[in-house]
Amino acid sequence: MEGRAGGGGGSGGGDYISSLLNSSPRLDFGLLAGGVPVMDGVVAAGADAGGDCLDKLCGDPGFAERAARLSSFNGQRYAGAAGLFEMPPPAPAASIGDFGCGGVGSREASSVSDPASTMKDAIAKKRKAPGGKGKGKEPSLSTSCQVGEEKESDAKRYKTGEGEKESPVKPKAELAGSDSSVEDGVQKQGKGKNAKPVEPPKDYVHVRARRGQATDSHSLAERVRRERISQRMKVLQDLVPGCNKVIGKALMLDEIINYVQSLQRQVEFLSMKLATVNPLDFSNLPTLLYKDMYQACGPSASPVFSLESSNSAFPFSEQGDVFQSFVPNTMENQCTLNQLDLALSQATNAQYAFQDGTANANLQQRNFWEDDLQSVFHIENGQSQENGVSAPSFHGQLQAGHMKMEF
Amino acid sequence: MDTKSTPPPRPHQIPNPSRPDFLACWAAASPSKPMLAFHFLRALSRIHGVTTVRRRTRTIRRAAYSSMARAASPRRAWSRALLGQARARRSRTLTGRAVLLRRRRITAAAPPQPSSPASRSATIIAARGEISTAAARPLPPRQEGEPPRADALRRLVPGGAGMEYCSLLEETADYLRSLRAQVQLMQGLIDLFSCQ
Repeated sequence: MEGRAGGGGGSGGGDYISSLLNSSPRLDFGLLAGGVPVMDGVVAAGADAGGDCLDKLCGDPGFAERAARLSSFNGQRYAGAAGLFEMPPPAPAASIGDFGCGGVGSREASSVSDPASTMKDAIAKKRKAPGGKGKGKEPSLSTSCQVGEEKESDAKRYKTGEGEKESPVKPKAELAGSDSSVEDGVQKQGKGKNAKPVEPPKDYVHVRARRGQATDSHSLAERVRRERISQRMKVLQDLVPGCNKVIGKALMLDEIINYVQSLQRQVEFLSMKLATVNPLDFSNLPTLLYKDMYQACGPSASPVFSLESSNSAFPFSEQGDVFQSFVPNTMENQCTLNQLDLALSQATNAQYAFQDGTANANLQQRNFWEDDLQSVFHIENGQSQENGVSAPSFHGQLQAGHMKMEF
Repeated sequence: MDTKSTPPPRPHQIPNPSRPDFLACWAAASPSKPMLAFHFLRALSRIHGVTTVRRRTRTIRRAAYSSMARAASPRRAWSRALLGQARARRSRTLTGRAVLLRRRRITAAAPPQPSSPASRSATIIAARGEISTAAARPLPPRQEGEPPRADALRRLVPGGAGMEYCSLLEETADYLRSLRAQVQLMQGLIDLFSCQ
């Protein structure tokens, strides 16, 4: 057995899978770890790399060339691989392709097996049922395989899109697909993600029906939807801490619900703490933020600030207007947040006007605020520039009608 | 001189408020955080008049959600739903006699009588419009592969009632990110205020 495809297959698999993988020497493709974006450059390199590796692999330039041309078949063939090992000598190369977890390696290697594809398909058909069981046995393997599957389906997609290969069509169409929602929409997902690099983007979604699947539009759409759902669930899995150990959609959904509830409770609790701990004396804020900022970025009295101060008006009559008056200036000034220091300083001063009525304190505090907060958010000038662009949509709402803070 | 003394922390690492540049580093970590801080701090500065702790708690909580919604992209359904809820709440409180009283309180000098009927009818119409549009939406979406726990998620995420399961998951992810940022901000502010 030659050419083990990557290291991914052995990672999550059961014993027999890892033994199958370990039995063959390692092909170091080094592309497994990347996600789908890796695929962007892979296909272009795939032909060359495939030629090199498969030369090593088979010593047959004909194989390499065919491998480079032909697309791989479906990667989740690990159950089928067991059967394929029983096959005649060309099969060992084919078995590499069966381990979809090998990612790119398997993609290229499996294309070697295309000449033997007809035989494989016969075996693969038989293997469909145990394939389902195998899937159930190694669910973790399936998730790690999915990456490889995506890559393979991308390769499939590209090579089909290039249009000149009818032979990959045949093995693809004959592929026995297990009934797993993970793999089903893989093509769709891969297509959606990688429409750009190699071929002109298609405006319709190109889903290829697998063997054993219904080909009517409803089930295709169903598969698309299921694939999208699993994709989103993966994103959520990354967001929610501790969700990695949980496998299965129902349990993960419970975890997600618990996490959202706990975050909402935390917001409630923190707002209570904010209400009690900080009795809303803004007298301390300038000093706190003063310390905060001066260590952070140093006093930077930028010309931006003077520009803003010249632009904006300073109404002291109603506090609500204080922030509103800066809204029209948001558009022409760089940074929404540089308004914050002005706004808050005005708020503070207005508050003091209510409470203390000391003009000296106002002036002093205002100077502190101006330097502090403006230097705070001066850092985020670049970022908030984009935010400033999106902010007008909200500020439009603010301006229309009565501007009451929305509590 | 450098604008930043330390590099921004990793996204999941909450900067320590006792560090001198906490707010700057935290806000620089992701593009939506400065807007969050801006709106929330502005809201906080307005909550000076409410004296009872309970009411202030409620107000701060609503301010937190509103600032979350403001900081988020308006493409997000949950942010639109949150802002719509806030607006409906305000117009609810402003119907009827409350309008009269509030206008009398705010514009003490101006005679309230001529202005209030027009504004009251305007707010009532606005409230009715919002409520009607809100009521028209929650038609049950297609729930083919949807697990039964999904309706709990719909209740949790604002605006989740009228969405398909697929988009519900996407909204949940964005909502979670925003919630986490809000919690980090509030926690940091509390620490900032308390350790003086």
